[in-house]
Amino acid sequence: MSQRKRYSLNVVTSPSIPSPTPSAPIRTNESNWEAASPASAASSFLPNVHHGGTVLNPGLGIMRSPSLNKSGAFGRSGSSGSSTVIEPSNIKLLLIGDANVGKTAMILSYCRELLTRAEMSRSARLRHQQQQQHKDLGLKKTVVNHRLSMKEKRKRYSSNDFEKEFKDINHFADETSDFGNPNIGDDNNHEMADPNEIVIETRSTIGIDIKTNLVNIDNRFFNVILWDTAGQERYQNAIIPSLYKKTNAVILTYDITNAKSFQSCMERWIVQALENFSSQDLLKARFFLVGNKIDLYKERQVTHYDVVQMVQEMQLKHGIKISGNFEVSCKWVNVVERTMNMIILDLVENGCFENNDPCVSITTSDDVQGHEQEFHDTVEEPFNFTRQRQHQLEKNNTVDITKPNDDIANNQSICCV
Amino acid sequence: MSFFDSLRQKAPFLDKLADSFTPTLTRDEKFRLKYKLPANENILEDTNAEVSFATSIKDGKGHSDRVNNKGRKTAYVYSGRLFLTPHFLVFRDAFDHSSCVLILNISTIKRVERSPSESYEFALLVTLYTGAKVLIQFIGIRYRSEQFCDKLKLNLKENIPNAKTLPAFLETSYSEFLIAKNILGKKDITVPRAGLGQHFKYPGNPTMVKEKAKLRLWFDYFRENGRNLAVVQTPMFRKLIRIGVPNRMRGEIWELCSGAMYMRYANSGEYERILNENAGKTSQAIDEIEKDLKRSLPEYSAYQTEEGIQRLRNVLTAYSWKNPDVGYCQAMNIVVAGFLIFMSEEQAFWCLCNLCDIYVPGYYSKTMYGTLLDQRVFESFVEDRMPVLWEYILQHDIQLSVVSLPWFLSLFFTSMPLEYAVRIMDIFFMNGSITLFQVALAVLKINADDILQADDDGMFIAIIKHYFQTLGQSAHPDSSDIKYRQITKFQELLVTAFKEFSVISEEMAMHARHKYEKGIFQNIETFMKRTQLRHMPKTFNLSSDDLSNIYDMFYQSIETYKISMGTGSSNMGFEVFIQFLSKFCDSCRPCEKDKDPAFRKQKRNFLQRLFDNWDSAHIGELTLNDVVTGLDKLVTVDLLQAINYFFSLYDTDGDGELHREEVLQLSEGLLLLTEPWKSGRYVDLLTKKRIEDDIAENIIKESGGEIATMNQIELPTGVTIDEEKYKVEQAERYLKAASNFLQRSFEYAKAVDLAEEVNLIDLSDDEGEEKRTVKQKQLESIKANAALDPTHPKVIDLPTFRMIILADETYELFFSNTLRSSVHVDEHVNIDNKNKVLRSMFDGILADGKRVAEQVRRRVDSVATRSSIASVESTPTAAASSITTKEEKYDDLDDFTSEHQPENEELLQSSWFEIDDANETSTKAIQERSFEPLSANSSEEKSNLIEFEA
Repeated sequence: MSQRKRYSLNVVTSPSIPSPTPSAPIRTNESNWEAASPASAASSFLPNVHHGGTVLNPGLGIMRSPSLNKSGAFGRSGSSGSSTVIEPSNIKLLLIGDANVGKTAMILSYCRELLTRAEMSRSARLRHQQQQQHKDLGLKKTVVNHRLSMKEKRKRYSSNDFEKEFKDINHFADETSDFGNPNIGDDNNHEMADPNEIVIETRSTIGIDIKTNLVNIDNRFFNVILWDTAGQERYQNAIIPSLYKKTNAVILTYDITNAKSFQSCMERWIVQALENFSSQDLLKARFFLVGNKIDLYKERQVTHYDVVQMVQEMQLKHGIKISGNFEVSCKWVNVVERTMNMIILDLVENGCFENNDPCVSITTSDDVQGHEQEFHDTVEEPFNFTRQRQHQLEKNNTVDITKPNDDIANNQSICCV
Repeated sequence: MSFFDSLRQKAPFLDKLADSFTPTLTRDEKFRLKYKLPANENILEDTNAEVSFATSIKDGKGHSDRVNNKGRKTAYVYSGRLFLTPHFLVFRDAFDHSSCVLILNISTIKRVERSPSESYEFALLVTLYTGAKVLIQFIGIRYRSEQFCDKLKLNLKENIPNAKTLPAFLETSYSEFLIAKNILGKKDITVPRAGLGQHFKYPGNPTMVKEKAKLRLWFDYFRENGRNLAVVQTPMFRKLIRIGVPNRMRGEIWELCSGAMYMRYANSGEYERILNENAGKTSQAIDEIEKDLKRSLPEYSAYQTEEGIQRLRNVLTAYSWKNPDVGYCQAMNIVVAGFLIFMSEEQAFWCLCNLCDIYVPGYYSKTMYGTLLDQRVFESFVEDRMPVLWEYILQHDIQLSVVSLPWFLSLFFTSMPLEYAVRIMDIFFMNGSITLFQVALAVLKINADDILQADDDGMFIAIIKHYFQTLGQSAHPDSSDIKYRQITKFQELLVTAFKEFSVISEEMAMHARHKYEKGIFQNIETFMKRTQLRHMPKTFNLSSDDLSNIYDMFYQSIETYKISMGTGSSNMGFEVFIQFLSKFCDSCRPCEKDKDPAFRKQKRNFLQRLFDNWDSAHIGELTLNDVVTGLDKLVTVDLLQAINYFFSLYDTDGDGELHREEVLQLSEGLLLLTEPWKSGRYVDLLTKKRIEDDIAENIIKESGGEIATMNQIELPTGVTIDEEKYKVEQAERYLKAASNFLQRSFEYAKAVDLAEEVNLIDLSDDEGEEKRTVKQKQLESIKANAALDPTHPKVIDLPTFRMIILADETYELFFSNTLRSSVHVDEHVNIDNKNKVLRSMFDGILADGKRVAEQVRRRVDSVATRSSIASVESTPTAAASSITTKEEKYDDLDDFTSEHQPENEELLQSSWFEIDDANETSTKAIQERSFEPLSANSSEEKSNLIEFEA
């Protein structure tokens, strides 16, 4: 039985939908499900039928599958109609770290907005074909030409960077217009390289950047708000006043090939965070340590021993407990997404989120209690699994994702720790 | 005394007046800033004049319409003011200072002739290198006109060397290439080197933006009004920029409007020199540049090749060496990457220099104070212009700067698609930094309805991002009028920004900047202080309050360093170090003995030794960390540590032993340190204790046999006498301690080094001093003689030194308590208050003087104000109604439409243009032949001819 594909529940926050309602995400998920290929649709539908009334995925507590969401919503409304989610809660993740460690790439990777070389090449080819058609149609009437110009105009200017959804092929065709016409030589060069390699082409973050993602965890919706920050030191005075307010998690990011970026996490970033957190916010905030670029394992400068040493030192010096430390790579599929999911699940289990629902006025402990009961009511086994995994997380305090276990994973490189 | 008393009373009020006073620039500074001239230009002479222009190229006779039109233009005369600077001749009209602006580099002048004129007493005919002629008719008394011409003649001679470099400079100009190709008919000419867009394609679709038609319009403009270093700016110039600059011309237009062209011409070869001198060097800025090279404009294909990366690296590196106070700041890479698409490396370099110095000063400084200040100004504009939106932003706790900071720092390059960002840059270079405010306000206004439904920062950012990504779409897709459907969102943005918000002026921005400047600077200083105190090295004897005081005194002493701006050196030199210590160290305070040259020399030697000891990096300067570490050792509570530290000051070779010369120097150091107590200015613990004991004894004696009245009378007299006595005793005790120190040094040194025998030639000076010591203590003559034996040199190690110090009660007390108490790092607040009061007084005096000067200047400018009244009245009213807005949009649409048809006609007639060019060539030959006899005749007749050929 193959593992089911999970689609990102990336609701576009357009002005027409100022505040998402519970029904809107479901509708969007259905459209995403329909957009999937028939093979994956069939494969995703079959296990559902096989399990009959089973609602939850036995593997993970986080689900972003449209079909399961639909079934879950139905089951939830049938079982307990008293607690209906009106608005999603907010989880604010703050990524801080030196410049060029890859914070922006991590966020884009989590939102599945990084392209592979094959996709980029395909977009360029589509762009070339469209231009050719435009030339042919130029011989026709002026009115027809004008209409095509307007259409092409709208497509071309819809986006100019890589922050659009990659599934919209038209957008990709437009955004690669600046690459010029790919000639035969370029195509050959592209084909020589690995077509499945992810191309990271981000620009320096100027100030602060915010991306929002809607996540469904056991039929509860959470707005995951990711804050990306500029890493250069002189920017700190410009952005600090708005940075640490109502932050639920601080993700200290470093580059495993750059020992200096690892050192500055403790010497600079953690000290700065503690200085600017209000005492009230600090109680609900959790700290995570994430090392990036493990695909460059041959140039590794930060070892696991260094990480363990730093975690202990942070506890001694600053009284801060690192809730988890991970190592990821944006070049590998799904690695960042799984890490982020673990972080978000940890936050939800510990009640580190901001409840936006005005109708439900409950305290944190009550919410955790209700959360626990929900687990117990639906399926007993996933709850035990979750508890066991949390125990394992606390025991090791280190989750090493050196090898992705996805079907499409790139097995060509083996990382030695 | 009454005058100063009244000044002291007025100080608080004068301080408030100083806050409200707006700073003013000198006349030359305003002039340079307005016309973007290099820094070494100043007004040598200025006069009233009328100017008219004539081009050397005329259209064929076959087109009478153009001839008539051109005839009218040729006859047009502008009245205004003419300025002369060392390298430029600047003219501006008197009506609104923008109808006709001529910035003429003197190197481009080929000939100046005195021209006969019936209506004016004095007139000049200036011929440029292009063949165009400028007729200048002077207004006013003849004497001033003659004076102006004399200075102009002198400048022409001085600019001969510059004129020789003109042809090479012109080869880099695309407008020159355009004229040469289409008028002069040179087919073999090559395109000048330009930006990366030549090879990697310019952003946007050339057909869509009517590239060729715009190029033709600019060609016509240059043909009539001159180009590059000799261009006349008219309203048509600004209109062509608003319509859009063609990509091939964009680099040159940016360079011209920003003044970078003048900088490049004045500093030929500077860019290559900077790169060559600093090749191979490294710095923190270069490390940061390398991190960001591939993250500038990754969507543009040139920056995925080594050529693009190398150009970007060169420009950013050169600027970091030229301006080390800024170095490199993220966002500069994005802006320069945008420049390099249209400019060569040298052009981009000078454009970046003028951008940082003139357009957005302080944006990329180490503290980014310019950015913070403009964010605050922008928020105040939003509050004034859109109060409903501002109220909503405050209510929902949305951070406006989260969105607007990237706009201002990267000049919209990161926010907008590239083809629209460069259109904003066209107008930015023409109008200045107010363009950023206008566009930012327009973006918020257009999206106000959507923003009013957002409830957090993420939604806010998403709305703005979606708007920028859809700028190419129609602004009114549902309108029934086809003209409205064709208007794009970008055009709507331009109309809103530059018509509706045209009231945002440079003066308004300057006023708001000064209003919030003080608060921003204080925030920056507080942040910098907190950051630096956090990174201090560990201290054992200094509390956090002490560190704060040291920080304040450190930066007060360094007057050249400005914390808030991040400019100047943040290290302390030796002279400043002396002043710094004299503020809180008793031994280093000024005293009456400073008049003695020998004492002053000793003092400097000791402080120099201390300075060298604290200088951990051996660079001749002290950093704040060095000072903190040094003071921490100086005020240690551990007696042995203090003694060890003093020993190490004189153990310069670090071998753990002191030789005879070093012992003598150490003795002098001790004498210097104990000077305040020797002279009786301070009292140590021993003296205090003795005074108390004597007073107690006196009381006992008196109470033994006298009545109460007699006791009271006796006690004051005794205290007075004893005070003088005790001071003398203290002085004697310290002198005796110094003497005993020397005696014991040589006495105990003998025992340690009996085994070592080294032949040493003894100096007579040392021998003399030692003999004087012997005379003071004749009873110890035998032991002293042993110490003076030249064949047995003596050394002292640390334990021996420690023992000698501890043997004397006075020195033991000095190192354990007195020295530490004499360093007052906790008394800074009082000193600061005094300085603040004095500063307020002086600020008040300065403000008073400035107010008087301002009133005088205001009266002098009253004449100029009358001429500007007309322009004020012609300015459109600030409150524009919706109907007016609609009409303006309609007008703007007509503006585009009216330009469209002539462009099409010209495009259709482009094939005929070459034939016309041939005719013009023959006509020009005839003109040249007929022109020569006239000039020959005029030269013969006029003896006062001013002829000067480059």
